[in-house]
Amino acid sequence: MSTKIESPSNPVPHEFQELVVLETLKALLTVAIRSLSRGEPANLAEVSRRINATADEVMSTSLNLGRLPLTPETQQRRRKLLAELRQQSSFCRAMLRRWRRSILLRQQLLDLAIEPVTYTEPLDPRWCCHE
Amino acid sequence: MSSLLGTMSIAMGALEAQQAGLETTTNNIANLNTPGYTRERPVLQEADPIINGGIAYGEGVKLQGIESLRDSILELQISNETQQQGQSQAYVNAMSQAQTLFPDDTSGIGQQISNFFQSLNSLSTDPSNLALRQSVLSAANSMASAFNGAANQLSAVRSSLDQNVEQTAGEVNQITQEIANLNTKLAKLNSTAQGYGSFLDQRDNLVQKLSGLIDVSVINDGTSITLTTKQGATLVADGQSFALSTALDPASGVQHVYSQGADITGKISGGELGGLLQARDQTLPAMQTQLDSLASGLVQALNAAHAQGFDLNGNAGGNLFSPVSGAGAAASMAVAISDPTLLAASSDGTTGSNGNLANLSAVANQAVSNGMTPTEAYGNLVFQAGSAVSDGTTELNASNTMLQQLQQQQASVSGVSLDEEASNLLLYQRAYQAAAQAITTVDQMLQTAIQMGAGK
Repeated sequence: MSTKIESPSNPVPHEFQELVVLETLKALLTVAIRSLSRGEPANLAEVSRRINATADEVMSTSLNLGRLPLTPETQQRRRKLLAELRQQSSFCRAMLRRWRRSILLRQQLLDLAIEPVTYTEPLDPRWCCHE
Repeated sequence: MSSLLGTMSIAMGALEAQQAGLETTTNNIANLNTPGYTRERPVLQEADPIINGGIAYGEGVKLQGIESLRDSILELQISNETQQQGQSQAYVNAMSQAQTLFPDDTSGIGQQISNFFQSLNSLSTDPSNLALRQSVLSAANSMASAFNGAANQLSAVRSSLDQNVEQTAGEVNQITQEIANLNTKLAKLNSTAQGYGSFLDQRDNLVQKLSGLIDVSVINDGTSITLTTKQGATLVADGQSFALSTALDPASGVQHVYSQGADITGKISGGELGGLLQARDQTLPAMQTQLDSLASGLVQALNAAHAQGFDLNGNAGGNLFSPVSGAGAAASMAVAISDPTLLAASSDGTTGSNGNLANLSAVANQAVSNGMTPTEAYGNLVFQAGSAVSDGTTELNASNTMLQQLQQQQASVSGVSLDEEASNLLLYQRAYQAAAQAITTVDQMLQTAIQMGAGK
């Protein structure tokens, strides 16, 4: 699956810059949720990398716009987006936690099954390293 | 060389083995849409050869058993996730009830606090106006009623969860009893026996059902299973089940869960029971404490401010609210005065003074509970209730999604594939036909031999 989420090419008014980046983050998280829900890990690494990059962008945009007054509509949209992002990221974290747990459990049980018998003393050279 | 009758016996064995294959395949097809069914396959093994004169003659095939195709790791993962799902579901249900008690709109405690301070502002325009004074007392009563209502309903939610704990423990006992009975049945059966796989399926389904109710660890010794809670309380061992019991804990006033006399209430961490206990013993009491803290802080601050002023008769202000503190403060919050003239609005004893109303109004911006103003403290309660539901719902959604993925994986291992069964059906049919043909051939050869003997 490809993730076609492009950054806007046209210049965006300052007060909307943060919203645009937040929308991009939301779209990326939607892609991640789709992959996690369908059990398709193939493109998760790439999406995850882009989510991290976009999250950094959100941080820098927020810092730059820190003192810029926002209209009530923009503030409301921002709050709504942040709430949605919180839910999306919580779901992603919950799913990843489950995947990790699942993989670890299988790994542990498989390791347990094939764990070699350990010798308390080194093997006699006659019994090992035969071609 | 083997005799003709020996060859006949090999062919008969082949018929029997292929018939078992056909039966198993037919059973798989019949259970194509049966929930929880695990597909089976016959395990055929070459019979031990007979050695005669240094030559080993094959003795055909023997049916070793009927094998259910299971992935025990997947079953364990499904059990773990079912526990998580049961817990989240019970927790979300409980916290959704609590969330309705702390609305973030024009109803509830937040609005009543706001109305009360608004009524003080209105009175400040005409402090001797009895109608306005009555409005302040009405607003104070409404605020107290809102606290009483929320506290009582929070207790009611907790009581209802308490009943659910008792009921769920009963369901756990019923299921563990059924699992123990199945353990007994399975111990008496050979794995090749007809219906062995069905009993295994029934037991697996019950274990999954049990996982939805309580945290379970499964120890499988091949035939029998032992079930314990994650913390080690035994639920089933071979053919014996160990019932959970509930009893009222005098200290907390709620039902505690016991296993063989030991209190395991604090050790249950999963399933519906885990979710109920988390809400009943952790989240709801924490919210109750915060509500009580807000009520007592608000009452103390308003009484202190009221005591600084003078009523319409020139007397020093008494308590505006009956003093409350600690546990139960919100439930017992009540206005101490009913006569509007006793409202201490004046700061100097004159009827026209509204100086003390400023003191009372200032409480709106004072830290009354855990360093927060009344509005902030209530907002915190709203946030906590909302977060509990939201976080729980996220966990529940993730569990549902994960379970779906695990069940799909399980279906690919244990589910019935019609294509595969159709091809197996043909395979066993052809093998059966060939074995039957071998019997016919041997029969003809025997007849020839008999006729040869008769012709002599």
